[in-house]
Amino acid sequence: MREEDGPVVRWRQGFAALGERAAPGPDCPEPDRLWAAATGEAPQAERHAVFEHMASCASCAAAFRLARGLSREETESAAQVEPFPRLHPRPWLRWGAALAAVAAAVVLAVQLPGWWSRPGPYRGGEVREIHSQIPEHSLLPRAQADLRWSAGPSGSVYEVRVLTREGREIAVESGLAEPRWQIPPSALAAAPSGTVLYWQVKALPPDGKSLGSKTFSVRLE
Amino acid sequence: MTNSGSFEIRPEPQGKPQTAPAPREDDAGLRAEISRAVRSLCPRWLASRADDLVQDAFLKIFELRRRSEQERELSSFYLKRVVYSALVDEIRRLERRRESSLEAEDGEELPLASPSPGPERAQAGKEIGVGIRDCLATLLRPRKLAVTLYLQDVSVVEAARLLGWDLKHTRNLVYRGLGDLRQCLKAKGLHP
Repeated sequence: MREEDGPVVRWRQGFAALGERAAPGPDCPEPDRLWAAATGEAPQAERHAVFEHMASCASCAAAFRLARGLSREETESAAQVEPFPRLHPRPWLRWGAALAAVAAAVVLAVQLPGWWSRPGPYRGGEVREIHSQIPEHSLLPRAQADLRWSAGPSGSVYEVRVLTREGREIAVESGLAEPRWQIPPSALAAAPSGTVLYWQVKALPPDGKSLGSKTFSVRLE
Repeated sequence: MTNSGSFEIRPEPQGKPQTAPAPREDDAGLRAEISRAVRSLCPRWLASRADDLVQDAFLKIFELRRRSEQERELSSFYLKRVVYSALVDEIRRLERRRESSLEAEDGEELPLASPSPGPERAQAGKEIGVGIRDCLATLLRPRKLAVTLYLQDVSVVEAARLLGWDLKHTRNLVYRGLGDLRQCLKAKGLHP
């Protein structure tokens, strides 16, 4: 449901119009939290909290739209072409539109490889995405800084990058056959305790269609 | 572990040179992209200041590069995040200032975001916006979250990803939530 659903278009315009009169309040999340929610980097509960706040805060709703606009190139999945269900759906139209969306998604997924792009969601009919296997809120032991992630398509080899919060690359490894890697202690020598490390994985399957993860973060013990 | 992090510009260490490195050629594309986003997505009253806002935000990038040994590459995604934080901080500052000045002017009418609305449409848009905000507050939380994202022009598939729910469930919540919203707006005399 998009342009054909006139009321929703007007609702969107009306909702966005509130941003013209908006002013932030004391409870507004910091810009970083908005960005992390808009890109999906934040944990689920955090994302939900931000979205709920956004329902009543036009200033943050506008800031969210800006985050989406700026991050779109990296975070927009092919699913953007998925049409919205009609308020009064006709099943044959809905299924037809869904099939068209899947076809378009496959085309876009093939066209958007790269480190910072979102992974193509449809491969072999399955949604594929690389997830961190490090428990939330755990600390990464300095002497055994093992990064683990969900496996990519069968036969993949992996590349890993580790960065500081300033974006400086402190470790990189490629050609990994297993979905795990230990950051060399020497790479962490200069990082103080409590440092937040950002890391990414790229899976390189035999078919040559790389699959990039989003950026994960973990705190160094 | 968390999947989010705070990005801060650390204070300048004492004794370091204060000159920022010159902008890079590849900044032009990034700057143009960010300017476009600001113009199209920021409130209209800020449109004329878009270039200034982006320029100020880019200073953060130059500072960041100067403090990071200059030779490394910062990803465009990271740079956008830095720029975004600076932009939102500045926009919020302007919004606060504007709010206080408008309070002093006692109720100036403000333009709406919808493209070139006539007075009647503008008034209708304002009423609908307020009605939507009030009605969203009455929705069940899952429906509220799903509908809020949809009203933000997020597709259902993307909403499912952001909410961490499966597609069918999310689509159902949006569908039902929009139905609730329609009923609520009707009850307020706001016919969609």
